[in-house]
Formats: sequence, structure tokens, C-alpha cells
Amino acid sequence: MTEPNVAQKEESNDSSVAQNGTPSHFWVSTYPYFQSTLVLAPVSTENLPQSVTLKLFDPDGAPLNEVTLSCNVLSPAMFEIDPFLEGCKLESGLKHAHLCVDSDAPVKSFVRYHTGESACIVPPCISAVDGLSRFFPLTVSEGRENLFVVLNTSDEKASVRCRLYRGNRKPEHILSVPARGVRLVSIESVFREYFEAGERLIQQCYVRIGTRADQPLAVQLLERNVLEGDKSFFSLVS
Amino acid sequence: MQSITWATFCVANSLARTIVHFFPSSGTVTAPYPAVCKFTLFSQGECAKTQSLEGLRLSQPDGVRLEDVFPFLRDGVSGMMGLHITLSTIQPRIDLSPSDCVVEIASRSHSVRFHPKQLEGGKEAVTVDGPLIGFDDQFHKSSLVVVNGAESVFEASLAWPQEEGGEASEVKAARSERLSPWTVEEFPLQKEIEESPTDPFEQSWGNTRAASLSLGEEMPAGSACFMMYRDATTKLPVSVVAV
Repeated sequence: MTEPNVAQKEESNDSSVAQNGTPSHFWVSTYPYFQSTLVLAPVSTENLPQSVTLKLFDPDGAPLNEVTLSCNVLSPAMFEIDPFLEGCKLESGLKHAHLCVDSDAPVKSFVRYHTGESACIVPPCISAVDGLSRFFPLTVSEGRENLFVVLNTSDEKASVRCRLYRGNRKPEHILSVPARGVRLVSIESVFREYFEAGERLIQQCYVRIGTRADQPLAVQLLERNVLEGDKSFFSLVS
Repeated sequence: MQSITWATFCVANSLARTIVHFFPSSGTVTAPYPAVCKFTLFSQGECAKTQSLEGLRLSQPDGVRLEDVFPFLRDGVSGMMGLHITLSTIQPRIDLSPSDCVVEIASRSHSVRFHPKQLEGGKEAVTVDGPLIGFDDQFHKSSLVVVNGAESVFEASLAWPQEEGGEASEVKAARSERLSPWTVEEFPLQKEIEESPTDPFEQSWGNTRAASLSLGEEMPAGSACFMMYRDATTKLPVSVVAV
């Protein structure tokens, strides 16, 4: 273990930078939608990370895998996450997990989701905490699915309030996320009574995520756009 | 702070349009105090168009098509434009720093949504956090979008980090571009990624090239940089990340 130097103690405001004690949190998934690849790059040429720790937790928060990577080079490094998800249980019909990236020196991290046809780059999930709610715009229409990802970064179970804003209606859904776990919220399913089946018109809605938890939650929105010929296009906000 | 400002780029053409979503919030204050959103649009050296949108309420998410704020955009504008978005309230002692903003570039087939760069008031320069990471493979073509929302010229100097004998050393200049005041430019990075000293990565689905680049200089206040990843086939933007 190297001793932290002065540069290591300087904290970055960039949420995509993981560093000692300030990990980045990602949602990773494999079956049946897409594959996930982690991309890491050192922030400073003068302070290269000696080790980067990846901790994977299953949707219920149980430790799944822990890997320590040596990446003391300046070039970006890419790691396919799928092999680390082999033993992961299915939850909500998906094989998915919470990935926590920590490093002994600042390192920029992204995840790349890719299907056979397309890929997208995802920065770490943004955090929501007591007094800091998060909002996401979403589009509801035929052929689109909106999935909310909520990661609990703490060792305590967290209660999350998910409020939909559609016109003048503001229904709320409360869910519980296990410690270190993940929960997915299908907006079209949870709030189905507020949408008409096979809605053809494109509707602009918003979702606000709030919590009373002192420890931050990590959240992101995943939109699946089903195109012609059963092809899917994924778009994310995080 | 009683106001909060973001910088972003936007488009308005036959293929794509821009929607700005905002969430005026003061955290624990839940009273629906009124808020105002000011838009300042600039491109090609001109910064003459400012519009304000009233009727917003604290803790109430809302959004607007940019062409509804600036009707001349309905005719389409070639290239990218720069945009400053400022949320403010006249209520004293209201802190708007928990507010949020999301920009959506919507095309017929899909949308790409991203967070614009929040500007810090009172600072004369903006530091770019960390490296810019570009990819070039069957999925993505990468480019750097530079928004110069200042009255001064900005010289964007890109460099590759270099290693000598296993030790990090000085950076090597890759490219330099000069941006006039109030302009937005997109710089494809295909050549820089191809010429970077990194070997291609072998993935289960094929090879990919990734490169880490640094932006040498501090940017003038009011400016922002974004990494844009376009679909390699359709050339449509699929991911945008503020840096």
C-alpha cells in the first residue's frame, strides 16, 4: 500500500473521478440486454494509481466479486465486466449488479454498454441524498421503456421516493433498496394506471427521486427504444 | 446562491432539435416560490440573443423546446450553437445550488440527454477535470465539442500523456485549435486516437482503440467542453459527457 501524497488528498469535483475513499458507482448488467465494459484512465501524469479496486454486489447487496487491478500506466484500460457477473442472480428478469470503483489515486471511470448493434458511454450514477433530490426527463410512447436504476451505496437499507410528474398529476411510488443493493423501477409498470396501454402520442414526463437517507443513493435513467426489426437502442442519463 | 448557470451546446436543424429541462430546487425548501430561466444563445462570434422564461416554480420540474424560446430556430441553423442557461429567483435567502438541468438533443429515432457544465460564479477561468477519453471502433466515433462562451479567444491544445521507461513524463502535443469568442466547434478525434501510443484492445466483440487526451490550458469563464460519441454507422450522437 503506497502512502497517499499531497496530490492524492486533493479532491476532485468531477463525479466520474474515483479516488481514495470517494468511489464511483455504476450499474452493470449482462443478460439479456447488453454487455458492460469498464474504462479507466488516470487523471494525473504525476500520480498514477497503483491499485484500483472493483467491488461487485448482487441486487440484494451480497458481495459477488472483488478484484484489485494494477493499472499504473497512463493509457486507458478496459475491462469486460461480464465474466465477473457469472454467479449473479436474476432480479427483475435481469442479471445485474452494483459496481463500486475505488482507487488509491484519482482515476476517471466510465462504463460502456454495448449490444450487437449499438453502444453508449455512461458516467457514474449521480447521487441523491437527504436534501438533494434528482430529477430526470423521460419520454413515454409506444416502443419506449423507461427503467430507473437505484443503487444503495450505504450499509443500511434505504427508502426511496419516486415521484412521476405528468401534467398536473404527481403520483408517488416508495421502494426499499437493500444495503449495497440495486433496484430497478419500470416507470411504465409502476405507474401503469397513469398511462394508456399502447400509448401512441409522445408524452413528456419527469421523475423526481428523493430520499431521507444520510448516505447517498446513486441513480440513473435507462431508456430502451425498440426500433424496427426488434433492434433496441439504449439511452442513458446519469 | 440566488442563481445558477450552466453552459452547453445546442442544435436546431432538420435532423435534430434541442429541449432544455430544468429543476429549480433549493433542497429543503418545498414552497413553490417563483423562478425565472434566462437563455443566452450565441454562435459564430455573436452573442445577441437573450430570452427569459417566467412562471417556473421551485421544486417543479419543467422543460422547453429551444425553438419556442427562439422562434427563428424553427427555420433551422447550420452547425452548433452555444447556450448559457441561468435559473434565478427574486426570493432572498433561497439557495438554488441543488437545482439541476438536462439538455436533450432529440432526433426522429432517438434522444441523447446529458447534463450541461455548471459554471462557477466569480471565477475567471475553468479547469477541465481529468483526461478526455476517446474511442474509435465499430460502435463509436469520438469528438470534442468546445463551447467558447467568453469574450476572449481560447486556444484549445490537446496532448497525449507520454511514458518514458515506465515513468510518466511530459505530455506530447497532439493538436491545437483556436476558437474565436462566442463560438462552438466540434473537433473529430479520429486521427488523434489512431495516432495515440495506446495499443488496440481486444474485446469479445472485436477490437477497439481508446485514447486518453489532456486539454492543456484553463478555459475562459463561461466556456465548457464536452466529449461527444457518435454512432459509427448513423453518425448520430449517442452519448455526451461534460468534462
